[in-house]
Order: sequence, then C-alpha cells, then structure tokens
Amino acid sequence: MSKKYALLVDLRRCVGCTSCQVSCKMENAVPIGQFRSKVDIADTGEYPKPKRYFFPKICNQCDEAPCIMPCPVKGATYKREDGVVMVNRDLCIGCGRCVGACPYGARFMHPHIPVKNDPKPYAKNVHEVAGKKAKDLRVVDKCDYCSHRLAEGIEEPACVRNCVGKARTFGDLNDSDSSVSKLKASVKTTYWHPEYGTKPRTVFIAPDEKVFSAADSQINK
Amino acid sequence: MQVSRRVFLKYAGALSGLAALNKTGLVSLKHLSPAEAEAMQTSMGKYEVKYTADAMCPAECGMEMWVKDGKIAKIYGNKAVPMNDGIACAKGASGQQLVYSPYRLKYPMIRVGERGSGKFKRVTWDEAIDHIGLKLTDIKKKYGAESVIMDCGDVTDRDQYYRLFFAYGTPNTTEHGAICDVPRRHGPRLMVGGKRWEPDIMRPQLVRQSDGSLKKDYTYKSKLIVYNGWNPFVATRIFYENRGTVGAKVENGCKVVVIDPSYSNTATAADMWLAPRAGTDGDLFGAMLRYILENDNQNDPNKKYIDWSFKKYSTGWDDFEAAFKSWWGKKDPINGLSYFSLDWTADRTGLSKAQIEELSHLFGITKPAALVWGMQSPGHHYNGYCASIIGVALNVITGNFDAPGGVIDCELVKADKGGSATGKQFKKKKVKRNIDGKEVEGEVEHLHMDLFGSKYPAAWDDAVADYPNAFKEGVDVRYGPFRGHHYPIKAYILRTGNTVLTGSAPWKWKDAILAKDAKGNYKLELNVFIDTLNLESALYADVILPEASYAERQSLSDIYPSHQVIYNRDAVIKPLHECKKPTDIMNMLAKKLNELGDSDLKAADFWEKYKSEEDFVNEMLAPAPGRVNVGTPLPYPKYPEGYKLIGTPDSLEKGEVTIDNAKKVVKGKSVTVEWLRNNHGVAIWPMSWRRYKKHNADEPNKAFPNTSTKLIEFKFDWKDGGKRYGGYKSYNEKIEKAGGEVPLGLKEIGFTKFPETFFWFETKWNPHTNPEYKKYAKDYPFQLICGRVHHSMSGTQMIPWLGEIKTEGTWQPMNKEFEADVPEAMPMGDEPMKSMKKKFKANTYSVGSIWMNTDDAKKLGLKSGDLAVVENPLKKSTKGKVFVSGGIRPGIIKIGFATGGRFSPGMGPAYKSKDYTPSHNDLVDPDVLSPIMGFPGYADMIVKVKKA
Repeated sequence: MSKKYALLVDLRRCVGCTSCQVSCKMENAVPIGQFRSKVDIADTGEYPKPKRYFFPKICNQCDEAPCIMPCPVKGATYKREDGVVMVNRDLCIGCGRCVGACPYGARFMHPHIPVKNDPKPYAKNVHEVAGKKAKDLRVVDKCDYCSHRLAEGIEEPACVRNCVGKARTFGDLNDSDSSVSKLKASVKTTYWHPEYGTKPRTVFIAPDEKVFSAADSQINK
Repeated sequence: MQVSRRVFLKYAGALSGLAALNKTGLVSLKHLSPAEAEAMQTSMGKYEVKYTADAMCPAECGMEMWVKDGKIAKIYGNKAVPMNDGIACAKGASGQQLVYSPYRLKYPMIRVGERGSGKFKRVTWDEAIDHIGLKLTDIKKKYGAESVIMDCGDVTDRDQYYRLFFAYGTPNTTEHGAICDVPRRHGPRLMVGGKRWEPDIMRPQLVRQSDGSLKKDYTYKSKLIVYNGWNPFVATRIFYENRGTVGAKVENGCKVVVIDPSYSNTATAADMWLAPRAGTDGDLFGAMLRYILENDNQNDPNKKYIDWSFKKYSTGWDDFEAAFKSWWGKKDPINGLSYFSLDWTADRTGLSKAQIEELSHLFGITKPAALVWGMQSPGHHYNGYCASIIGVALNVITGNFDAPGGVIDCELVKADKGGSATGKQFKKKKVKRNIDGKEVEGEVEHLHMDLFGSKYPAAWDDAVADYPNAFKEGVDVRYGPFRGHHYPIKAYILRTGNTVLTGSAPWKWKDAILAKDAKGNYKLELNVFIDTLNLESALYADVILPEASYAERQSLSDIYPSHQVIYNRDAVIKPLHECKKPTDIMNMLAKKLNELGDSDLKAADFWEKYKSEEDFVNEMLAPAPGRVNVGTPLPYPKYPEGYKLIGTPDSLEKGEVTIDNAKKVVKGKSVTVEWLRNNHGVAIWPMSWRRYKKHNADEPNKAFPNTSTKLIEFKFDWKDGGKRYGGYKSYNEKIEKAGGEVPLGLKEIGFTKFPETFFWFETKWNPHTNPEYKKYAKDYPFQLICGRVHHSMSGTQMIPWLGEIKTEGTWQPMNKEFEADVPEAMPMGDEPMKSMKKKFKANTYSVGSIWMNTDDAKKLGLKSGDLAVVENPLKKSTKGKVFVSGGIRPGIIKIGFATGGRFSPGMGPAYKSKDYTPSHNDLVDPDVLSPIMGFPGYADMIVKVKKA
C-alpha cells in the first residue's frame, strides 16, 4: 500500500513565530513576496477581550485538487499516489491557470525558475503563453511537503523540522501507528474551508474555528 | 496566501471524486518525475552537517548548518541541544540572509569626514590595526589604560576582547547585559547569587533514574506559569519557553497567566490576561505577597499558600517580613492608602481588586507554579529592583524555587566556562597612580569606573547608559585604594552592539561622542566599531573592523538551561570578504601593542599561546561543568554530595576521575572542542531539583545556592558571630571605608547605604504612582512602553524574510512603496543567495509602528496607518504610523525596541522607512538611570500623541 501523507497543524501549540514560513523559504528558495507556507496573523476583538489568531497556511494537497484540471499540459501539475500535489518543472509552461484555480492561494509563479518546456505547441489554446518563448516564462511553484526530503527518506518537511511550538506533525495516514494518525484519531480535527469540496489533506486542530475566517478578513491581509 | 474563489468556481464541479480525476490520467503514479529525480540529485548526500549555535540573538539555540561547496545551504535546530530540541525560529532559519547580506561590513575602514557623517575610506587590516595600536599606546601613556572602555555587545563570545583589554590594563569591559534587564535579575543575584528565574519547562531533561541509568525526560510538571512583563513568544531569548508553555498546557493542563499592558503573543496562550498600568509590577507583586501573608492558613487546604520549610534553607526571613510589613502601616502620598493593600494596588495598577485577589490566590494555591518577570517589566523600570526582590520571595515562600515544575535560576545551574581564557587574572596586576601628589598602589580592577566610581558602586553589570556622561566628564573614583583619582574616558571600542541607537537616548550618545575640547579635538579620542553589520554606531566610529559573522567564528553557548549543558558554536564556513575572527583580531592588536613597546601584552599570553580559535575555546572549556553534585535525584550518586564536578559527561559516568577531598573536586577528562564535535556538538550533565537541600535529608547542603551563607538570603548586609554577610555587604564596606560618602544613585532615592533587607522606592515618570509626576498627567495622558520584536532587533532588520512577518502592534506591514537591494534565495545554481534590487509595494513589508488602543485612537481621530507624532515632557518626539487594536490597555502606547528610525544605510529595507517609523529610544530620559546599578528607565515615560 502506498503511503498517504498528511500534515497536521495543532493550533493549540502554535506560538505565532512564523518559523514555518521562513524555514520553508530557506529550504525551498522561495522568493521574497511569495509563499509556499505563510502564517496569517489576525487581530480582532476589543479591550479587554481582544483576540489574536495565528493561522499557518500551507497547500492542502487536496484529494480533489482543483489546480490539476485547468492545467493545459498533461502531467505538469499532478497528484502523486502518496497524495502530494506536484509541479513538474520540466513540463510546466508557466501559463498560470492553476494559480487562479486554487481557492487557497497556494500557488505562485517563481521569478527565478524559467520554463523549460517549449510553449509554442500550446499557444493556440493557451492564450497566456501565445507569442512567448520559454525563457520569458516562469514555472509555477507550490508546497510539495518538501518532496526532495521525502525522496531521501526524510519524512519531515522543513516547516515541521523547525516548528518552534512543535505544532506540526507529518506522516503517513495509512500507518495507524504514525504520530499523525494517532493524533488525528485522538483529538477533534478540522480543515480549512472543507466546504469547497476539494477534500483537503492538511489537517488542523483548531480550538476556535474562527481562525479561518479571521485570517482571511480584509483588515488582516 | 489568500483565499480567492473567483477562478476556482469556474472549474469547480468539472471534476467529482478522485475516480474522475484518475480517468483524466492526471494522477501520476509510482515513477519518479524528472523534477523529483532532479530534487534527489541535488539533495542530501552532498551536504556536510556542522553543529553550531545561532548568535543572531542571545537565545543562542543549538543549530545544524548544512554546508555545500563551502556555503550554508540549510539551517535547522540541533536535536541534541535541549534548549531548542531541534527547532529553529524564523530568525534562526533566516541566517543565510544575514551571512550573505549585501549590507555586511566587508573590509576595514577609517573615517575621513566628521564623526557621524558616514564618510570612510577603505584601508588594509595593517593600516587599521596600526591606527588603533598607535592611539591606544598614546592614550595609555597620557591618561592610563583605564581610559579605555571595551564594550562587547550582545553575544557571549566576548572572551578574546576581554582578555586583550584586561592585559592592556583596563578593567572597563562590559557586554550587552548591562543595557538589557539589569533590575530584573537583581533579586536573584542578591538573594541566591544567581540571575534569571525561568519556569522549569526546558524539555528534555537528562534525569538519573532509580536504576542508575540516565533518561531524557520530556514530561511537564508545571501547573501554573505567571509571566509578568515577559513575552517569550516574541522576545524569545529563553527559547524553550515557547514550546514549553504550550507543551505544559496541552500535556499537563498547566494554566498560564500573562501580565502585560499589551496583548502580547504570549497572552494568546494565556488563561488569564491582566493588563495593568505600566511600571506597577512591584506594586502587584507586593500585593500578592501581602495577600499570601495575610490569608495563609496552614489548616485550610484552600489557603495553604506558604511552604514553611523554606525557613530551613534560608536566613533573614523574619527581618524581611518585618520590613515589608512596616510599609502596611504607612499611607502612600499618592492615594492615602496602605501600601500593598488590595485597594492601594487596585488604585495604582488599574486592575480590579477581584483580579488581584484571584491572581494572588491562584499563585498561592497552585503547585508547582512559577512566577517569572521579564525585561519588559521590572527590567526597564527605575524601581525594578523591588519587584525582582519580591518576586524571588514569592517563589521561595510558596515552595516553588527549584521545585520540579517550579522556577529555576538558570545562572546558578549552567555550566562554568571561560576560565583563564577570559584573562581575569590580569585585573589582579598591581598598578600605581598619582593622586593629589601621592603615589598610591592598587590592582587594575580597583580602577573600575562603576564599581569604584562615584555613582553606582554596586553596578556589577556595568552602567553602560552612563557612558555618555563619562565621555564628557570622565570618571571620579570615590571608593577603594584609588579614592580621589579622576580619569577621562578616551577610547570606546564597541563590538557587536549598537549603543548609539539603544544605549539610552541616541541624542545623548551622539552628543557625547561628538563633544570636543577647547582645542576643537574630540574628547573621546578613539571610537572603534567591530561588527559583521553596519549599524548606526558605525557611523560615529573612527575605525571600523569587519568581524567574521557568527557562522564564521567559533565559541561556546550555554545560556538559560535548567541544568548544565554546553555546546560548540562551531565555525561553519570561512570568513567572507575581509572579515576576521575575534581570536585573530585579539592577536593582531596584542602583537601591535607589543611592537609599540607595551610589555603588558606578551607573546606567551596571546599569539604564541593561541595558534587558532580552537586553542582558545579549549581553554574556555577547561572548567566545565564546574557545578556541585547536589539536588534530587543526585546527579552522580557515586560521588560525594556537594563536590564540584569537572569533565566530560562520559568520563564522569564511567568513573574515569580523580577525587580531591581537600578541595572537594571530582575531575574527569576535560571537555574539548574535539569531544563536542564527536557528540553532536553538545555536552549534557544530569538534571536535579531542590538543589539547595541534601538529597536524602531535609536540611541545607551548604553547597548551593551561591551566597555568603550558602542559604537563600532575605537579608542583604548583617553581622553574625563577628563575621559580616550578605549581597550588599561589600558595597556598604566600600562606603564605610570612604567615610560614609553616599554614591550618587543612592542619594537620588534618599538612601545613605545599601539596604539591609526589604526596601521600596517609586519609579520615575509615572503619574499614577509617583506624586512628583502627577502634574504632567493631563498634558501627557499616555504611558509609553517598549518591547522586543524578535524579528526586527537592532542587528537583524536588514533581513527581508523577517520583514515579511508582522508582530503584535509594533511591527506591521505599513511600508510606503520602496526599492532596495536584498539577498534573494536562488533555487538553482551554486549560490544560496544573490543580491538584487527589489520593489516592495506599499503595505507589504513590516516596519516599526505605534500601537494604541481603539478608543484612544478614536478620540484622537486616528486610524491604523495614520502618521502620528509622539512627544514627551522633555520635548523630544518621534513619528510613526499607528496600529490601532483592542489588544492594548487604554492610556498605553507601545513601540518596539529599535524597530524604527533606523538611520544607517546598513539596515537595508529598514533604512528606507526611517522617516516614518518611530524610535522609542528618542523618548527615553537619559538622566533616569536606576539608582542601584545605573540602568536606563527604558519604560518610564509619559507622552502625548497627535496626528501628524
């Protein structure tokens, strides 16, 4: 049986330090201004009962990933058997359709990774790349649970490795003995906007579910 | 990453279920894609893993740096170091952007314009060392070596510079602690000989088991932690308090109370957030102590607050209690109420009586508990000493001191290091000075500007904020053998610090550094800046020396542990640019001074002794761990209780030791750099608790704590059986030998000597507690407080990844559009970072901001993002954008420490926002130096706010 990877974020233990955000940038050379992993911080409420939410956002690695369908190049964005939604940098033509299709904002165009695949054969149907050469286009980037670490048998993305509150747990849901399975089984968990129907894989322990809406409110952008 | 369903909805419904997805053939299975194959090729096997520590902040967490082709490629926490247990904060993980920053100092420079103009010429190391050597030789001849100050700033590898300047002949060396939190750590030093008290939540701990084995124990025991003015989630210097606080909550049901006028990130984890007025920490502690004393009932399980066994392990409680109670009979002139009563405390703190009662009861009844106080509270107030002393008393009488799950003095239990490498022995050298025509002999250390000076002779942490006065007026020695000696300060060597910006008020520092004599020469003849970073203080230097970054030099880290731990801060890469390591800078300068005829600097003490920095670090390791075998469970049951332990953990474990019964020392094989490198960089000795008592009897072991009686002392100066004891004893003896001359600091608060037990005095610039300032309350209705923003301290604001973070109300994405050179991570090629110009859109990058309450802002017509001017009664002002929220007490304004007004171009992006970001330090009153140790009242100020 294949592995079924999932990342669990226990918000009871999140200290709002943003180590995950920066550790991800360090690990994956994410450009300034873009994020594979980001902590949104929302201040709400009035004195003497204020509230501050820390919401560490990351790709949901959706089981019904809405980013795959719009991709005009077969296999440029795909879901692995273990659940990780990947970008194939050799195939991506940098049209950016998947970026808009992800409701969670988990994708961006990487300014320092030029497209390798010649966009010309696709230009007829993909107006975004029409008249452009590969070197003028940039590939899409996103969280892949640090697939290069997984490939080496290090089943611990950098954000989990460095998480200051030990709020992040990563592992195989098909292994009932894995810490992620055990935690998921013992504590009530939830997802970020499951009503979108994308079947997210990234799990949260969220004592206060307002964290999701608060972080996305206008004042906290 | 922002939720947007605009395009998503277009595709939603096109697919239903994984089965449908599979049919499209878009789910790739099993075979590695080319991208994965590439990832594997570039991955793990090619790295060299080095164990080091992070010196970007004083938490100095243990780190793994993964090096490829001589460059830092990855940074993670070192899993073998218990302080951080494998984790790394945002700042730690951003290290590449500091090491490979375009803003680093790259080569030595000598000033060509006026001081402060920022005009320098590039010179060779030889030219720079020549310049400094000639000046130091001249100054020593003309004024004496004591006219030179060596300020070693904010990292712990100061030893090479201390050694150099002790040998040169000045006792005037200092480090960052002097402007960090001096009043906060006063009580622990005075009463147990320690420093900082922290909750027992460092996990794992290495604990001796009943079967004799050692086990890493991860279980939390704490049931209550009270953080007063202490925000470990943001000011993360005691790093385990992050995971420990949430870990103890989730795993052990620990309650957390945060006392802070602002809703800190730590407060987000609190079961109770109390927001008192600023500068009333001691008031609240006093109320807690009075409540516990008045309501303790040993027969009522719900009121059994005090664990009276503390009296066995302490001395002087009755005197302390009597002195404390004597205040209950007095009426406070500010409100006519009895000191430390609930009414008095409610009036002064602005908390309700019910809140104060609830807190006092909760702390008294919950065990184990820890009451800790931080640098943002007692640390930054003129009267913080009082709070610190009461805080110690509260923890001790409730039985929480060094209890499992209680509170630990991490200074008392950390490993000893430094030893003879630091060169303290040079301070014992006999020197002569001519005073009023008479030749007087004493030791180098008797020339110390504070310890024997006229103002703060108990300033065991040095009065750095008083340096500007010393630059202008010199030093009056009033105590010790050199009484009557006056000397000027002629050279200031600053290394890894930024005193011009943070050493109290920047305008005062600038004024003193620029002051000239009648002939038009700078009074301070030599100002040297040594650092990796180009901070504001560099602009005022005559000579700039570029030092190797923390990843390019070697030393040791060991700070704030629950038990002895020491780890190698290894050099990970070679020094970049023309930077040099401290050991090399020390040797170069020593050799130069020797060549210029100064025989105090000898080859055998410097360049012939230390061929490499590893030689130096090995000498520093020689005394480790250097602590006594005490506590329960006894760390080493096979060795006598109370004996000092020296040597590697394995040699002590195996019994490869010699035991000196006369000196009570057990000595194994010395810890060395090589040993550390072979053991994941770290040496760990066993934990124990209640280290003040015998492990097998309820009596003191007389080996711990580190006081004159080896007991916890509630008295500070007393005589018993013809002998004199106490933490203030030596300072009062100085005063007596000087014919009763009262030091300036004590005069300020009307004391004639250092007090014998409990004492109390009011803070400054607080109209709620000190009648002297009541008259300002109407025109200056806000109290100004400050606090660390971990991500944006003085020396890390050039790191763009940290600018992408926002913190509380003091570090917010409120930038104007700007363009700056920044180090950008490279996903391809050999360079981890490449410098390039980047445009930053408005409101995308964090800058220092002014935090204020929603209702206050409304009254002033201010909303988030508006530019406001903050002005104090000294007519000093600063400007910045306000962040408005409900997360701060009305009447309080908070600004981050050194977050704004960054006027050195070396700050990169932060420099671009200098004109619309606030400088808290500009509003500090430089004449408010706390009376016992001369520490600046950073958080004692009132202000008015208006729209700019």
